[in-house]
Amino acid sequence: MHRTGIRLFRRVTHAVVGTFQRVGAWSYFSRDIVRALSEPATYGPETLRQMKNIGVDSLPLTVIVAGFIGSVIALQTRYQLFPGVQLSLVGLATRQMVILELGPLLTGLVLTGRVGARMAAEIGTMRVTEQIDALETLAYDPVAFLVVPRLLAAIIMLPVLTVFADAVGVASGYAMGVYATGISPSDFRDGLKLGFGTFQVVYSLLKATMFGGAISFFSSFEGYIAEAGAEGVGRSTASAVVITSVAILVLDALTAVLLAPYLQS
Amino acid sequence: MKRRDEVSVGILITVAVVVLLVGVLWLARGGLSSGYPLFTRFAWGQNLKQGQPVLLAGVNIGYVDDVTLRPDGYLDVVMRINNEYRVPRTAKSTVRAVGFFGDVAVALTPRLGGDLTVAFAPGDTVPAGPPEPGVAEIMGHADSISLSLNKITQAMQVEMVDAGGLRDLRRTIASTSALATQLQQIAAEQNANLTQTLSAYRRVANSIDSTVIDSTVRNLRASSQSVSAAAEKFNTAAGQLDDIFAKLNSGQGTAGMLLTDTLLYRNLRNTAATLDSLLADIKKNPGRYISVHIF
Repeated sequence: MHRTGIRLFRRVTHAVVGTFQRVGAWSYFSRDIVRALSEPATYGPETLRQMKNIGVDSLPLTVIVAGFIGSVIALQTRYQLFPGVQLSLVGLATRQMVILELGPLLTGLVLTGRVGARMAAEIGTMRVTEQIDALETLAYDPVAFLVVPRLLAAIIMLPVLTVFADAVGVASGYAMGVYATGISPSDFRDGLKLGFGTFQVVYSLLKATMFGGAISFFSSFEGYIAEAGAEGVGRSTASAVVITSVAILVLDALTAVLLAPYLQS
Repeated sequence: MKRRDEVSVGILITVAVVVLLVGVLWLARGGLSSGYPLFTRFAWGQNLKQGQPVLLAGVNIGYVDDVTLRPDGYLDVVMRINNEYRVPRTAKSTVRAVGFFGDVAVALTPRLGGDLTVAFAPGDTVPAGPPEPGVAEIMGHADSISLSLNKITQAMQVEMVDAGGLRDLRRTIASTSALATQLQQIAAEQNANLTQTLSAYRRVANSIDSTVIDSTVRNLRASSQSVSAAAEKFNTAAGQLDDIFAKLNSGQGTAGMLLTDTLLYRNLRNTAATLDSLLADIKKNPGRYISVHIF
């Protein structure tokens, strides 16, 4: 009993210290990123390449996910309405859910799996094969060369992808609502326009920007600190996906708490 | 860095920017065509929001572009009307509920019989009409009706059930039913009697000879003429009597003086009194007046 208590205390202490250690490491990593921003010649060309990887290559997956989500929202909303409720509510619900919540959130989560895991694996492999050490030996700042381009590319391309996700989600919701459930186009359009404010789009893009930053930051960090061996790379990749997903959900909740009152028109 | 990568990234970002701008403009302004503005003003508490529809005689012709809260208790509302529609100058604007959940629309209603050809110019202000009752107001009325019904029900419970009103009502209905039955019987009997009477009358009428009736009528006519002649004579006699009575009243003639002159009456009274005293004296002293001599 006494030993079990000591063991539990050690574990808790270890977890708390580990959390603080990780927060500290994130802080140092952030400092390195800020410092590396002063070397655009290093990260500039690589940033464009990463924008293509993160943005252009992820577009089909993002569009497919958003299309299905928008159509399902319209379908579910239509069939959950009880008689007497105006059908324009379907358009309103589709727009609000896609633009305010699911468009940026699902884009972020999808890209966490597709882009974040890839970032962690790439950087982790470079770490375990000592390529990062080689960069340092050649007087290259590895953060400026590996992390900053990914961070900037993700921060820029996530909002771009979210614009497509929002547009495709609403369009697929319109198609499903009008052609599959018999809502009149004018009803759906009335709902789409009801109470719309441009801040709703700003809110969506702001969340996407934060999600892009979170994906690249945590994924790069997990790869950057990968331990030796293939197992270490795999572990860092899995940690990157988990931590980034949780971070995206936490950021989503925070933005909702802080900014949702301003969404009321 | 391949040139193809740069082109693809550039295309993606450009298309995203275009989609963003077009989408926001379409959602916020109802389309790429801006339409023209009309203004109106409502009191606070109308639940108006940007994007709500503007209806002209029930047809969607635009949307609410902006709602500004004024400190004096009013809302300045900017309506964006599609270019193909014109709003008649006789129209008034009201806020109308369009669902169960508080959604509203601005309804522009032209005055019936007014000139519909003259329209508001862009930037004009549409006067606000009387507000329509909202769901809350209707529910308030429904609540008061419900309360009244509840009171009535309680009163009915007390009066009709607890105090035996229903029992009395049932008795009254039973009595009324019995009375109606009796009345029906009486009516049936009276109907039979009436039928018999009519039959008898018909028989009597059939048995009357029309020649007899004719002679009777002639006799009656002759009798009537005789009565008329007698009446004329009577009238003449009555006139003569009136003259006589007039003379009597005026004291003309002997009879008139007899009726009007009181001296004769007094003389007669005095004479009667004298005769009374004479008779009394005769009774008392008969010898004074009567002397009987025998031999």
